[in-house]
Amino acid sequence: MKVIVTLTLLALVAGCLLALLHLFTAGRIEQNQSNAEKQILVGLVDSTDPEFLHEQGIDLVITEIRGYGGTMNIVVAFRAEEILGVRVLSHGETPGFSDVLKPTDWIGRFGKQPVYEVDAVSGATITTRAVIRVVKDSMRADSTP
Amino acid sequence: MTLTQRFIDSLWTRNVATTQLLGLCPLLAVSYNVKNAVGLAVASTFVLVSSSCLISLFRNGIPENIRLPCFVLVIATFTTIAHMIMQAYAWDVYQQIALFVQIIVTNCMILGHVESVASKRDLKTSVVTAVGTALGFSLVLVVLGGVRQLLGLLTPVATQPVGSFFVIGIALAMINYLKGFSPKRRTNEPQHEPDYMQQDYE
Repeated sequence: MKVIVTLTLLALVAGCLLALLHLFTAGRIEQNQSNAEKQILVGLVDSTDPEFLHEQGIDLVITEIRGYGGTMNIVVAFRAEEILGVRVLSHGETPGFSDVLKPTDWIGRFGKQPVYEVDAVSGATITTRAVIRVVKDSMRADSTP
Repeated sequence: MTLTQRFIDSLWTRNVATTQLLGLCPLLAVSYNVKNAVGLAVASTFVLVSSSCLISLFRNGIPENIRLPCFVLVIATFTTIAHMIMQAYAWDVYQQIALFVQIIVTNCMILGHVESVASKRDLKTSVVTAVGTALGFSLVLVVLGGVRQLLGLLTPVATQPVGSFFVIGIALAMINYLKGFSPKRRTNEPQHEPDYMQQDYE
Protein backbone atom coordinates (compact mmCIF):
# COMPACT_ATOMS: atom_id res chain seq x y z
CA MET A 1 0.00 0.00 0.00
CA LYS A 2 2.75 2.39 0.99
CA VAL A 3 4.42 1.64 -2.31
CA ILE A 4 1.38 2.73 -4.32
CA VAL A 5 0.78 5.86 -2.25
CA THR A 6 4.42 6.97 -2.43
CA LEU A 7 4.75 6.52 -6.16
CA THR A 8 1.40 8.14 -6.90
CA LEU A 9 2.12 11.12 -4.70
CA LEU A 10 5.59 11.56 -6.14
CA ALA A 11 4.32 11.37 -9.71
CA LEU A 12 1.52 13.81 -8.89
CA VAL A 13 3.89 16.35 -7.35
CA ALA A 14 6.33 15.99 -10.25
CA GLY A 15 3.52 16.40 -12.78
CA CYS A 16 2.13 19.51 -11.09
CA LEU A 17 5.59 21.05 -10.85
CA LEU A 18 6.28 20.51 -14.53
CA ALA A 19 2.84 21.79 -15.54
CA LEU A 20 3.45 24.97 -13.54
CA LEU A 21 6.86 25.50 -15.06
CA HIS A 22 5.39 24.89 -18.49
CA LEU A 23 2.94 27.75 -17.93
CA PHE A 24 5.85 30.09 -17.22
CA THR A 25 8.19 28.99 -20.00
CA ALA A 26 5.78 28.08 -22.81
CA GLY A 27 5.51 31.67 -24.06
CA ARG A 28 9.25 32.20 -24.25
CA ILE A 29 9.90 28.82 -25.83
CA GLU A 30 7.31 29.51 -28.51
CA GLN A 31 8.84 32.92 -29.19
CA ASN A 32 12.33 31.40 -29.47
CA GLN A 33 10.96 28.81 -31.84
CA SER A 34 9.20 31.32 -34.08
CA ASN A 35 12.33 33.50 -34.12
CA ALA A 36 14.37 30.52 -35.23
CA GLU A 37 11.80 29.70 -37.92
CA LYS A 38 11.81 33.26 -39.12
CA GLN A 39 15.58 33.17 -39.42
CA ILE A 40 15.36 30.04 -41.56
CA LEU A 41 12.79 31.72 -43.80
CA VAL A 42 14.90 34.88 -44.10
CA GLY A 43 17.82 32.71 -45.17
CA LEU A 44 15.61 31.33 -47.92
CA VAL A 45 13.66 34.32 -49.27
CA ASP A 46 15.37 37.44 -47.73
CA SER A 47 12.27 38.71 -45.92
CA THR A 48 9.12 37.24 -44.42
CA ASP A 49 7.13 40.44 -44.88
CA PRO A 50 3.89 39.44 -46.69
CA GLU A 51 3.98 42.54 -48.93
CA PHE A 52 7.54 41.87 -50.01
CA LEU A 53 6.65 38.28 -50.80
CA HIS A 54 3.62 39.39 -52.82
CA GLU A 55 5.68 41.90 -54.78
CA GLN A 56 8.27 39.29 -55.64
CA GLY A 57 5.55 36.79 -56.48
CA ILE A 58 6.89 34.30 -53.95
CA ASP A 59 4.63 31.65 -52.42
CA LEU A 60 5.57 29.88 -49.21
CA VAL A 61 3.92 26.50 -48.71
CA ILE A 62 4.37 25.08 -45.21
CA THR A 63 3.48 21.42 -44.75
CA GLU A 64 3.56 19.09 -41.79
CA ILE A 65 4.59 15.49 -42.47
CA ARG A 66 5.66 12.47 -40.47
CA GLY A 67 9.37 11.84 -40.67
CA TYR A 68 11.38 9.11 -38.99
CA GLY A 69 11.31 10.58 -35.50
CA GLY A 70 8.12 12.62 -35.33
CA THR A 71 6.57 15.38 -37.41
CA MET A 72 8.63 17.68 -39.57
CA ASN A 73 7.58 21.14 -40.68
CA ILE A 74 8.77 21.76 -44.20
CA VAL A 75 8.53 24.99 -46.16
CA VAL A 76 8.73 25.11 -49.94
CA ALA A 77 9.28 28.49 -51.59
CA PHE A 78 7.88 29.02 -55.11
CA ARG A 79 8.23 31.87 -57.56
CA ALA A 80 5.67 31.38 -60.31
CA GLU A 81 5.99 27.66 -61.11
CA GLU A 82 9.61 27.46 -60.07
CA ILE A 83 11.02 26.12 -56.80
CA LEU A 84 13.30 28.61 -55.08
CA GLY A 85 14.28 26.31 -52.26
CA VAL A 86 13.15 23.97 -49.49
CA ARG A 87 13.90 24.27 -45.77
CA VAL A 88 12.93 22.36 -42.65
CA LEU A 89 11.50 24.53 -39.89
CA SER A 90 11.44 21.88 -37.18
CA HIS A 91 12.09 18.16 -37.04
CA GLY A 92 12.75 15.28 -34.68
CA GLU A 93 15.04 13.19 -36.88
CA THR A 94 17.95 11.23 -35.47
CA PRO A 95 21.01 13.43 -34.99
CA GLY A 96 23.63 12.66 -37.60
CA PHE A 97 21.11 11.40 -40.14
CA SER A 98 19.37 14.75 -39.94
CA ASP A 99 22.47 16.37 -41.43
CA VAL A 100 20.84 15.98 -44.85
CA LEU A 101 18.36 18.64 -43.71
CA LYS A 102 21.07 21.31 -43.36
CA PRO A 103 20.81 24.01 -46.06
CA THR A 104 24.40 23.28 -47.18
CA ASP A 105 23.65 19.57 -47.54
CA TRP A 106 21.15 17.53 -49.52
CA ILE A 107 18.10 19.75 -49.00
CA GLY A 108 19.98 22.69 -50.56
CA ARG A 109 19.85 20.88 -53.91
CA PHE A 110 16.19 21.81 -54.34
CA GLY A 111 16.04 24.97 -56.37
CA LYS A 112 19.50 24.40 -57.84
CA GLN A 113 18.65 21.42 -59.98
CA PRO A 114 15.39 20.00 -61.38
CA VAL A 115 13.26 18.21 -58.80
CA TYR A 116 13.36 14.90 -60.63
CA GLU A 117 17.14 14.88 -60.27
CA VAL A 118 17.02 15.03 -56.48
CA ASP A 119 17.24 11.45 -55.18
CA ALA A 120 16.61 10.06 -51.73
CA VAL A 121 19.69 9.52 -49.58
CA SER A 122 20.45 5.99 -48.44
CA GLY A 123 20.61 5.79 -44.66
CA ALA A 124 18.16 8.66 -44.39
CA THR A 125 15.57 7.19 -46.75
CA ILE A 126 12.47 7.97 -44.71
CA THR A 127 13.54 11.54 -43.97
CA THR A 128 14.50 12.36 -47.54
CA ARG A 129 11.47 10.62 -49.05
CA ALA A 130 9.17 12.60 -46.78
CA VAL A 131 10.77 15.84 -47.97
CA ILE A 132 10.50 14.83 -51.62
CA ARG A 133 6.86 13.91 -51.12
CA VAL A 134 6.12 17.28 -49.57
CA VAL A 135 7.78 19.04 -52.49
CA LYS A 136 5.80 17.01 -55.04
CA ASP A 137 2.52 17.52 -53.20
CA SER A 138 3.01 21.26 -52.85
CA MET A 139 3.91 21.51 -56.55
CA ARG A 140 0.58 19.95 -57.41
CA ALA A 141 -1.26 22.15 -54.93
CA ASP A 142 0.50 25.20 -56.34
CA SER A 143 -0.38 24.53 -59.97
CA THR A 144 -4.11 24.10 -59.25
CA PRO A 145 -5.13 27.03 -57.06
CA MET B 1 35.53 11.50 7.23
CA THR B 2 34.90 15.22 7.61
CA LEU B 3 32.80 17.19 5.18
CA THR B 4 35.87 18.85 3.64
CA GLN B 5 37.48 15.46 3.11
CA ARG B 6 34.31 14.16 1.50
CA PHE B 7 34.20 17.17 -0.79
CA ILE B 8 37.80 16.74 -1.95
CA ASP B 9 37.28 13.01 -2.22
CA SER B 10 34.29 13.38 -4.55
CA LEU B 11 35.87 16.26 -6.48
CA TRP B 12 39.31 14.81 -7.16
CA THR B 13 40.25 11.49 -5.55
CA ARG B 14 37.06 9.80 -6.69
CA ASN B 15 36.27 12.13 -9.59
CA VAL B 16 33.32 10.70 -11.55
CA ALA B 17 34.77 11.29 -14.97
CA THR B 18 38.46 10.50 -14.55
CA THR B 19 38.40 7.82 -11.85
CA GLN B 20 34.99 6.22 -11.94
CA LEU B 21 34.58 6.80 -15.68
CA LEU B 22 30.87 7.51 -15.36
CA GLY B 23 28.87 9.78 -17.65
CA LEU B 24 31.36 9.45 -20.49
CA CYS B 25 28.78 9.62 -23.29
CA PRO B 26 27.80 13.28 -22.83
CA LEU B 27 31.38 14.06 -21.80
CA LEU B 28 32.85 12.80 -25.06
CA ALA B 29 30.07 14.05 -27.30
CA VAL B 30 29.58 17.61 -26.05
CA SER B 31 33.11 18.71 -25.19
CA TYR B 32 34.02 20.08 -28.62
CA ASN B 33 33.81 23.69 -27.47
CA VAL B 34 33.67 25.54 -24.17
CA LYS B 35 30.22 27.05 -24.64
CA ASN B 36 28.44 23.72 -25.04
CA ALA B 37 30.53 22.17 -22.29
CA VAL B 38 29.51 24.91 -19.86
CA GLY B 39 25.85 24.48 -20.88
CA LEU B 40 25.88 20.77 -20.18
CA ALA B 41 27.94 21.20 -17.01
CA VAL B 42 25.40 23.66 -15.58
CA ALA B 43 22.46 21.42 -16.48
CA SER B 44 24.09 18.29 -15.01
CA THR B 45 25.10 20.13 -11.85
CA PHE B 46 21.56 21.42 -11.38
CA VAL B 47 20.01 17.98 -11.82
CA LEU B 48 22.55 16.17 -9.62
CA VAL B 49 22.48 18.63 -6.72
CA SER B 50 18.73 19.15 -6.62
CA SER B 51 17.80 15.49 -6.94
CA SER B 52 20.35 14.50 -4.27
CA CYS B 53 18.93 17.20 -2.04
CA LEU B 54 15.35 16.05 -2.48
CA ILE B 55 16.04 12.34 -2.17
CA SER B 56 18.19 12.84 0.90
CA LEU B 57 15.36 14.82 2.53
CA PHE B 58 12.78 12.11 1.87
CA ARG B 59 15.09 9.09 2.13
CA ASN B 60 13.15 7.64 5.06
CA GLY B 61 9.82 7.95 3.25
CA ILE B 62 10.88 6.04 0.15
CA PRO B 63 10.16 2.29 0.44
CA GLU B 64 13.25 0.15 -0.21
CA ASN B 65 11.71 -2.00 -2.97
CA ILE B 66 10.63 0.90 -5.20
CA ARG B 67 13.55 3.23 -4.56
CA LEU B 68 14.85 3.05 -8.13
CA PRO B 69 11.55 4.13 -9.78
CA CYS B 70 11.36 6.94 -7.27
CA PHE B 71 14.93 8.06 -7.99
CA VAL B 72 14.36 7.94 -11.73
CA LEU B 73 11.12 9.91 -11.37
CA VAL B 74 12.86 12.63 -9.37
CA ILE B 75 15.85 12.78 -11.73
CA ALA B 76 13.57 12.86 -14.78
CA THR B 77 11.56 15.71 -13.28
CA PHE B 78 14.65 17.81 -12.69
CA THR B 79 16.00 16.98 -16.13
CA THR B 80 12.76 18.16 -17.71
CA ILE B 81 12.94 21.35 -15.65
CA ALA B 82 16.49 21.96 -16.89
CA HIS B 83 15.33 21.18 -20.44
CA MET B 84 12.44 23.66 -20.28
CA ILE B 85 14.52 26.44 -18.69
CA MET B 86 17.28 26.03 -21.25
CA GLN B 87 14.76 26.11 -24.09
CA ALA B 88 13.34 29.34 -22.72
CA TYR B 89 16.52 31.17 -21.75
CA ALA B 90 19.44 29.57 -23.58
CA TRP B 91 17.99 28.65 -26.95
CA ASP B 92 21.24 28.73 -28.95
CA VAL B 93 23.17 26.44 -26.61
CA TYR B 94 20.12 24.23 -26.25
CA GLN B 95 19.93 23.68 -30.01
CA GLN B 96 23.50 22.38 -29.96
CA ILE B 97 23.22 20.01 -27.01
CA ALA B 98 19.48 19.21 -26.92
CA LEU B 99 19.92 15.44 -27.06
CA PHE B 100 22.53 15.41 -24.32
CA VAL B 101 20.43 17.49 -21.98
CA GLN B 102 17.63 14.99 -22.39
CA ILE B 103 19.86 12.01 -21.64
CA ILE B 104 21.06 13.49 -18.36
CA VAL B 105 18.24 11.30 -17.09
CA THR B 106 20.27 8.19 -17.81
CA ASN B 107 23.60 9.59 -16.66
CA CYS B 108 24.93 6.94 -14.27
CA MET B 109 26.85 9.62 -12.42
CA ILE B 110 23.55 10.93 -11.07
CA LEU B 111 21.80 7.65 -10.34
CA GLY B 112 25.02 6.28 -8.84
CA HIS B 113 25.38 9.24 -6.52
CA VAL B 114 21.74 9.17 -5.50
CA GLU B 115 21.84 5.45 -4.80
CA SER B 116 25.15 5.33 -2.96
CA VAL B 117 25.06 8.60 -1.04
CA ALA B 118 21.84 10.60 -1.09
CA SER B 119 19.55 7.70 -0.16
CA LYS B 120 21.73 6.79 2.82
CA ARG B 121 23.14 10.05 4.23
CA ASP B 122 21.82 13.22 5.80
CA LEU B 123 21.14 16.35 3.76
CA LYS B 124 24.45 18.09 4.49
CA THR B 125 26.65 15.17 3.47
CA SER B 126 24.59 14.47 0.36
CA VAL B 127 24.65 18.04 -0.85
CA VAL B 128 28.38 18.48 -0.18
CA THR B 129 29.32 15.30 -2.04
CA ALA B 130 26.82 16.08 -4.80
CA VAL B 131 28.38 19.51 -5.31
CA GLY B 132 31.84 17.95 -5.28
CA THR B 133 30.88 15.28 -7.78
CA ALA B 134 29.12 17.77 -10.05
CA LEU B 135 32.02 20.23 -9.91
CA GLY B 136 34.43 17.40 -10.67
CA PHE B 137 32.38 16.44 -13.72
CA SER B 138 31.98 20.07 -14.83
CA LEU B 139 35.69 20.70 -14.41
CA VAL B 140 36.64 17.77 -16.64
CA LEU B 141 33.95 18.69 -19.17
CA VAL B 142 34.95 22.35 -19.43
CA VAL B 143 38.72 21.68 -19.46
CA LEU B 144 38.24 19.03 -22.12
CA GLY B 145 36.08 21.46 -24.11
CA GLY B 146 38.71 24.17 -23.85
CA VAL B 147 41.57 21.87 -24.84
CA ARG B 148 39.64 20.49 -27.80
CA GLN B 149 38.59 23.94 -28.98
CA LEU B 150 42.22 25.13 -28.81
CA LEU B 151 43.55 22.02 -30.54
CA GLY B 152 40.81 22.49 -33.10
CA LEU B 153 42.56 25.66 -34.24
CA LEU B 154 45.58 23.52 -35.18
CA THR B 155 43.82 20.46 -36.51
CA PRO B 156 40.06 20.08 -37.08
CA VAL B 157 40.27 16.43 -35.97
CA ALA B 158 40.31 17.54 -32.33
CA THR B 159 36.78 18.88 -32.55
CA GLN B 160 35.45 15.79 -34.29
CA PRO B 161 34.20 12.75 -32.32
CA VAL B 162 37.47 10.91 -32.94
CA GLY B 163 39.38 13.72 -31.28
CA SER B 164 37.49 13.32 -28.02
CA PHE B 165 38.73 9.75 -27.61
CA PHE B 166 42.32 10.83 -28.12
CA VAL B 167 42.08 13.83 -25.83
CA ILE B 168 40.32 12.02 -23.00
CA GLY B 169 42.66 9.05 -23.35
CA ILE B 170 45.72 11.23 -22.98
CA ALA B 171 44.07 13.20 -20.16
CA LEU B 172 43.23 9.99 -18.24
CA ALA B 173 46.76 8.68 -18.69
CA MET B 174 48.17 11.93 -17.35
CA ILE B 175 45.83 11.98 -14.38
CA ASN B 176 46.59 8.36 -13.51
CA TYR B 177 50.29 9.18 -13.71
CA LEU B 178 49.82 12.12 -11.35
CA LYS B 179 47.93 9.88 -8.95
CA GLY B 180 50.79 7.38 -9.02
CA PHE B 181 49.07 4.77 -11.14
CA SER B 182 52.06 4.13 -13.43
CA PRO B 183 52.47 0.54 -14.60
CA LYS B 184 55.93 0.46 -13.04
CA ARG B 185 54.61 1.41 -9.62
CA ARG B 186 51.91 -1.14 -9.98
CA THR B 187 54.30 -4.06 -10.37
CA ASN B 188 56.55 -2.84 -7.57
CA GLU B 189 54.02 -2.23 -4.84
CA PRO B 190 50.70 -3.77 -5.80
CA GLN B 191 49.40 -3.66 -2.22
CA HIS B 192 49.21 0.12 -1.96
CA GLU B 193 46.74 0.62 -4.75
CA PRO B 194 43.55 2.21 -3.42
CA ASP B 195 40.30 0.73 -4.60
CA TYR B 196 38.66 3.72 -6.25
CA MET B 197 35.58 1.89 -7.38
CA GLN B 198 34.63 0.92 -3.88
CA GLN B 199 31.52 2.89 -3.17
CA ASP B 200 31.32 3.13 0.62
CA TYR B 201 31.62 6.57 2.11
CA GLU B 202 32.18 5.41 5.71
